Amino acid sequence: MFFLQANTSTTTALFLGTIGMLVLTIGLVVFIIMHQRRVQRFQQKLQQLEIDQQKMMLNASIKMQEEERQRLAADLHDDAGPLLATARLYLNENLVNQDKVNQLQSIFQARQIIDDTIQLIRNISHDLMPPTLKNFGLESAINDLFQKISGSGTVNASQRFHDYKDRLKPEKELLVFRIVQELINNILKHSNSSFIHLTQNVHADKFYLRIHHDGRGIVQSDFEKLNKSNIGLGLKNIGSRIRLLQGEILFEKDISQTYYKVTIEVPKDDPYSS
Amino acid sequence: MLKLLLIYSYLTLPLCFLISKGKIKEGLLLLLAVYGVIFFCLLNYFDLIFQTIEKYYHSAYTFLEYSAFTFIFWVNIRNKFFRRFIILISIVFFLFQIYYVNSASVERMDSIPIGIETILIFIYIFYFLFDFSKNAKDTFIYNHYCFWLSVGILIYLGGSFFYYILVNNLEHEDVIRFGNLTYVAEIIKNLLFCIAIFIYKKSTANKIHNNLPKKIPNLDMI
Repeated sequence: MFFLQANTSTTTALFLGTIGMLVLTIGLVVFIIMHQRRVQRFQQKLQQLEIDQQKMMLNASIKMQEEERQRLAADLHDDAGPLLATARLYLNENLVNQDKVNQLQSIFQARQIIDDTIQLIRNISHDLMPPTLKNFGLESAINDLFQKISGSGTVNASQRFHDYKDRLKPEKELLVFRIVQELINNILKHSNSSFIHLTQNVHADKFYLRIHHDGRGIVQSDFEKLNKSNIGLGLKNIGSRIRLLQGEILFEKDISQTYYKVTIEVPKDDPYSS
Repeated sequence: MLKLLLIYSYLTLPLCFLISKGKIKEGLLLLLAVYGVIFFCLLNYFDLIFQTIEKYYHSAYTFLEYSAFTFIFWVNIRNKFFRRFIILISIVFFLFQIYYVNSASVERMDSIPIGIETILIFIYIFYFLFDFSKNAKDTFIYNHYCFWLSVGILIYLGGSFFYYILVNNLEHEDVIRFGNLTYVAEIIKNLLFCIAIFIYKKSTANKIHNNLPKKIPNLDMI
């Protein structure tokens, strides 16, 4: 009787135990799948945040453009406008009634003012589109920029273009140049580095630029953090320009932990033909 | 009949390996195929050979099963600390098995090593699933072959855990009755392993397509 009872309880334990284990297994699998779904929903939220961030970058870019226009308008209004108005004063109707010496003096003054205005407009125009970039391309423009930096004597800036026979399209060159300008500005402003070196190369259908410097720099996680925050308008502009170029940017520390590197990857296009 | 079905269900693994055009260098696929062949042989032929030394047969069976399952999770778990833990605990388990096989008398099966094996594999599976669901952000867990392996092993071990623990205390007819239940769980496991093989092939094909080596040209300073 005891043996029979013991045997019955063993089979019951076995039956219930097995059922319990199988229920536990199915429960676990369902839980994992549900949890995954929750993670996926969270991912979607993150993507939405990413879209919001892109909108913010676009707004930053538009804001930057507006600021540029305002600066341009101010330069023209405050500097070129008064200069031309002064020149007009020298060249008024009474000039013909004045004696020859005064006439010559007025014409000379007016000419001087017009020369200044030409120089001013040239400077504004160079700010908008560097002539070296337009006429001679990215390599020469970067070379010019680096020569100016090296000329200051505090930072040694050098560059090497390995393969730039086929120029990028002018609008691409301008975007890449603006990114380089912004990066160099940041390095000069924040990194306290003693040298900056830029290298260029191409591979397959990609154009690469890498900037090395030995100062304080940022890594990719910092770049992404700054991009998401409300500060770092310059970095946001870099981000939106990179996106416009359908390229990639990577901020990292050199394997030797001595230098910081920024690598830009941009898809190449047809050779510059215009 | 059910046992025969179980034995031949192991052959589906090498068959799936061949159908999915598995290559020898695809280690995990090969492991599953070899696992299928070895366990087919163990169940079909070797129980006759080992009849006189049954406890060695069961210990070898447990050892091989534990090794195969553990290797799968050892490969798939990324946490270095946990991988070391698996190695350490496996060494302890193997030492215990050697001690057990030499000292304990086995009536029907080596219940204690099987119980320990089940608990250890459960821990590995729980950790793997927890780790995977925490880290996989852009893919569903059921798109990973190891999920199907995990479910198969969970069903098999869950369905047979109490049976193997209590098998030495059961009546002969209960052994047959409940034994059939474990056969069903084992057949389901083998079928889920087959699904895992195809998912593995599909995912590696996608990986090869997506992760073409990205070459960055020389951008050194000199």
